[in-house]
Amino acid sequence: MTDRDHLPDELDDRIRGALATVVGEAPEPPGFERLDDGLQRSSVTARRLLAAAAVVVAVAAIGFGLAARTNDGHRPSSVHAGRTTTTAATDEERSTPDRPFWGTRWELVGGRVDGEPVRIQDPQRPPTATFTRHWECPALPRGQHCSQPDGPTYGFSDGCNDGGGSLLVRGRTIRPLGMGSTLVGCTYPSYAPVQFVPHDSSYQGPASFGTLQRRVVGDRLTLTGTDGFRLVYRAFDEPWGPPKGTVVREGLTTVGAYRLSWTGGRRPQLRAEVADRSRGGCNRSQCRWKDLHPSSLDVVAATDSRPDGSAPKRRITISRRGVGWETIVYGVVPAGTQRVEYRSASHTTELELVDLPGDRWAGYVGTVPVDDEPFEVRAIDPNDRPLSVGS
Amino acid sequence: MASDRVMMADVDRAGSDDAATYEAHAARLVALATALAGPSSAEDVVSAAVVRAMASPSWPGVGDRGAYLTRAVVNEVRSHHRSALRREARERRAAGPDRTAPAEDPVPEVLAALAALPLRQRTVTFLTYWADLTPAAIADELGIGEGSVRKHLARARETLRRSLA
Repeated sequence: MTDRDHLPDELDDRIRGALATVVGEAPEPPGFERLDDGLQRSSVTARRLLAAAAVVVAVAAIGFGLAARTNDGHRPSSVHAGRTTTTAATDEERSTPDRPFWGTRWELVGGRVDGEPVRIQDPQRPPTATFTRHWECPALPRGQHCSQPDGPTYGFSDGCNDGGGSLLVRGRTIRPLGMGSTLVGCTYPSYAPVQFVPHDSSYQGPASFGTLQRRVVGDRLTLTGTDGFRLVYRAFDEPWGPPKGTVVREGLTTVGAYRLSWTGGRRPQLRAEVADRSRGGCNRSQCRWKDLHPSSLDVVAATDSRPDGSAPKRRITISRRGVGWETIVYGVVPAGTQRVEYRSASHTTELELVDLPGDRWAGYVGTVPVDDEPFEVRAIDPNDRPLSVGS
Repeated sequence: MASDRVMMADVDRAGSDDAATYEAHAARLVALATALAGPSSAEDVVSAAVVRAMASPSWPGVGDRGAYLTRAVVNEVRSHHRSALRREARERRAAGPDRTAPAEDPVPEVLAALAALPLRQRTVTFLTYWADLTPAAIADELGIGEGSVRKHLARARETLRRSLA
């Protein structure tokens, strides 16, 4: 048995993930009754079939390029009369084009769990979910290694905690695999388990995740599971951001190494990964990421609020037992921003601007005093006026 | 792939097990066609392949109909790809830069590497990694020898290893 007979496990996983991504975009098989009457064993040679089916939006086809197209809905109606079935497939214009399942930020607007209607506790911070076709390993410096698979992933925020994991996709069926999340104590019940895990499962460690059916109609996504489980989302329009995984900044604080990267898709947010060097077994001042365990987040508190007119922002406080605490603030502002200010009741600090790929957004990051008070981040233009980011 | 015309088809289902055969394999065939020809062509490819297979005089005597349909889809992808290349060349000549739809995302390197494989290697790779078939099962499915399957898979893996290293 030679090396050609096997690939490294990581490469095998990437191939499986990539195929899962493509097959996830497979259309529904045409019904048998819609096949051409060439099946009647006529002498006419088979001719190309005319399909009145939905056009898939923005797919990642193997080797056939990419194009963004809107979905046109077609609702065939069938009339059964005796032993004959007549199917009429008609074109039907949708007033709202179907949003892409992948990459759209979906905000929870309703549903039913355990027989009870889902209630959105804070309309200003609705639970959200995003499904990404693939993770692109960022261009890391020499010696650093991206361990993320090339398969579909999902991310969620419940208005308090956020997290995500890998996603298994089979046509219209999705199954979240594993979940990592922040562990902030919230003042209202978290929707993280409601969204992706059985209602009585714990955050800690792997959980048995449900298999869900996905369906997008217009700007609405419906996820249905067993026992009447159903979640309904609405698409949230956001401008484009850099490719997922783009490393914005890496740093080393007294409590550990951290890395800010772009969450990808249409969502202008950064994501912080903090690794505890002691758990990774690395004693050097600069550790390679492969030596660390990205899942060993030691995030103590995280907030992600969006007051009207303010930029999306996040503040995390990281700690390592027996060493200390630090708070890092980071987020995204319009590209024309001259400076960024962090303001709380006790502190005002200027944050550092960071270049992001593209010309629409800039990032900001900075270390601020540990502070549990509400905070605000202001983007200031060259004329010393606040910039409006919008939602 | 979308049609602007109304299509109607009358099908007499009495006594036909073709419908049951099709329903049993449709999802798998569409997945295969999607992986080999892309989602936008998958439905056309499967429809044409199934019609061609079931309209064949030899169809009633076919034993393993699932494998027969798999081979039909692969063959249809091959001929579909040739005509698609000709059509795309015509469209590129006709379209100006303003009419070209911008790409939404860059093609991931893994998908690009898979796309660059010859059709047979791509098919074997798909059946190995997606359908989790053994070389012997793939050989039965495609109607080729097991040694050929192993050879195609080894070559595909070598190419992928080099391009994704």
